[in-house]
Amino acid sequence: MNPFEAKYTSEALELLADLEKLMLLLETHPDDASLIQQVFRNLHTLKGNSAMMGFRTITDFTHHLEAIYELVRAGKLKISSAIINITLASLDHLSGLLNGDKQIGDSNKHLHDILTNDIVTILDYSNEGQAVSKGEQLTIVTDDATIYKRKPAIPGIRVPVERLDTMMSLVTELITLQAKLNVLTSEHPQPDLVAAAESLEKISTRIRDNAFSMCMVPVENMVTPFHRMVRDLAAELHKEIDFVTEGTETELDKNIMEGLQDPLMHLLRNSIDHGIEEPALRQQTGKPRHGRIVLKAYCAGAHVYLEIQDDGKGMNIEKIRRTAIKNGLIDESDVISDKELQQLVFVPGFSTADQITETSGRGVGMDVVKRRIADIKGRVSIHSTEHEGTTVIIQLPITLSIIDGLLVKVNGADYVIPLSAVDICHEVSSVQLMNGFAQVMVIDKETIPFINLQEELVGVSAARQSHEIVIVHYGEKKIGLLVDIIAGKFQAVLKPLGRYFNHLDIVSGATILGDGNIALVLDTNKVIAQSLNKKSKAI
Amino acid sequence: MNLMQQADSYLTFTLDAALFAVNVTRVLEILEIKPIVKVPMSPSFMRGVINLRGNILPVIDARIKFGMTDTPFTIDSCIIVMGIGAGKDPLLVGVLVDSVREVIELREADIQPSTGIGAFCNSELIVGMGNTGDNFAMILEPDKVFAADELMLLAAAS
Repeated sequence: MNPFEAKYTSEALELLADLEKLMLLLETHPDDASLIQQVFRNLHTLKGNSAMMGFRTITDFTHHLEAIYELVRAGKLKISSAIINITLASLDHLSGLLNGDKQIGDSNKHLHDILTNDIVTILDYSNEGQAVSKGEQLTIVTDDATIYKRKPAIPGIRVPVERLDTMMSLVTELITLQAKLNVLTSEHPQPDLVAAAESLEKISTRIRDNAFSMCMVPVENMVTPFHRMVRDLAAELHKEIDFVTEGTETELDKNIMEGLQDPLMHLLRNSIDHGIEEPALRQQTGKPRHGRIVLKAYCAGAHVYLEIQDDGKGMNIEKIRRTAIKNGLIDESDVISDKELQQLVFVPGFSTADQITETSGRGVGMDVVKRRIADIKGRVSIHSTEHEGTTVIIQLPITLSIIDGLLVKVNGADYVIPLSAVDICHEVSSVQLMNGFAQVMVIDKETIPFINLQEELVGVSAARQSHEIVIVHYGEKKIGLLVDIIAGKFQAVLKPLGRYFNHLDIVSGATILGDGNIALVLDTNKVIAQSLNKKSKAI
Repeated sequence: MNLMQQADSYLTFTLDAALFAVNVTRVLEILEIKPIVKVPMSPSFMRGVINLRGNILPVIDARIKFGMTDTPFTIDSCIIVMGIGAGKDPLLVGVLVDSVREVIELREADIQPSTGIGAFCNSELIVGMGNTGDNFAMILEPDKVFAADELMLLAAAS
């Protein structure tokens, strides 16, 4: 079994286990709309994954099953014990298929036909406008032999986040203690003590690295399987697509990444199926034959961002407005900006696709995406221009993320400037011209506005001489930040400042330095925005 | 025995010359003064943050909070770590005080409700006056005095 298939199988089995739980719940709460929605979603995902892997039997079978819940969801069919029994039997059948060779063989052909027949019967009943009440007529198979033993799939151990968090804070504590011990040994250099302290340091450094690596995974790990998926799906839909990934070295907390996999997959499928046009059509509209999908990951401020960008046909604002009015989401007379309208695609059941395809289009996609991303405390937004393409931006919290930063001193206090924002560093002595009143300086024949961080953060100016300048990006522009001194590069584990400092956006968190001191991590974008704001008010 | 059951333990501490008390169930630990990192753009009573074994702990200067003058730290100055709010995960905050005295037992009869004391006392902050024998201790309710949301509202208004 290749790794993709193995992954697919273990995921599918998880979905089935989930579904089984849901079905049992549904039995006691047959009218719970959110349960039905979840069942439908799980089936939809299972179908989509199977289609992607090319398992026709499973795809078709799931498609039938999903159709039942589509009717239930639309209120055309009521959940009855017959439906639940058939679904449960079907789930067992599916799990049998998944554990076998995913094909219909002699042993399960009979079962497969009976179940398919039953499902079709239910669908036919409802199409005639009758509720299924005569469940007895359906042959329900609950033969013990057909219930397969699910084999445990444990590729690794899942650890609750709290335990990891506790470990991480204990490790930081250990490092802090280690730094203290080093100071003590240098004061009292006894050979035995020094040797013991050194060995301890080696071990604690390894523990730290290990603990960090347990929680952090580069985005690349998640993205690699997508290449194959994009390629296969594009080929299936007769589209030509270049899939480009950028910034995949950005590290993300493992738990966050796990929750991201499915939403990203959905978004990519959307881009391929609905975004990118057929090659011929693209050429007609003057676009290159090859569509382009870019997956970009980067760290900015207190967040990690993931962007999926395609240069496809984009969304038709008018169509969204009409669908929204039809679905009763907005009123005809409502004045809503295009940007807001676009976000409506995240509402459950919202789909403007004219045709339902196997990969997407029933309008379950985007609301699942939004829900899943909200589960990992992220936010998602969509920006689209018709004929030019669509960009979906996912904003994720950084909580456990490590950022590379530049450790600087401002008025004697330690601050960390995220390295992602830094362009270049200069010494004040290399500045050719500096105008304190206009706050502009000239470096390398470039005129760059600057902000004195001492003034900005402490409120007093020139208490200490500033020696160095950090040039940072501010949108398209560059802005210099005056600091006392640059102490060096530092890998910062961001810790939140807590509720007392919620109002404070110029500091995105704090980090603990090796010697136990605290350094505040600056959000340079906010610092600059605040400084500009102040200035414009003063004028 | 009956009397003992009704008695609660209080930790007393001083600010300026005044004696204050807080229920010991709210106190997690008492720390010596350690380097406090000032956070820019925060109200003056927010002294900053300290490193509490790898966690960031905000520190409120009780003197400034109560409108007393700022004085340099002494050997007795310390930080009382208190838990704010009920529930499984109370919000931790360090409160900077001049000195910590002792833990005393106060029976209900020893405590005068603040409403009985008169208008000079802000009943929002002080829930009662405890009679310690030779002195009175003002009993604080940490939830009211140091609640994050209210403090931030105050800060925004000033």
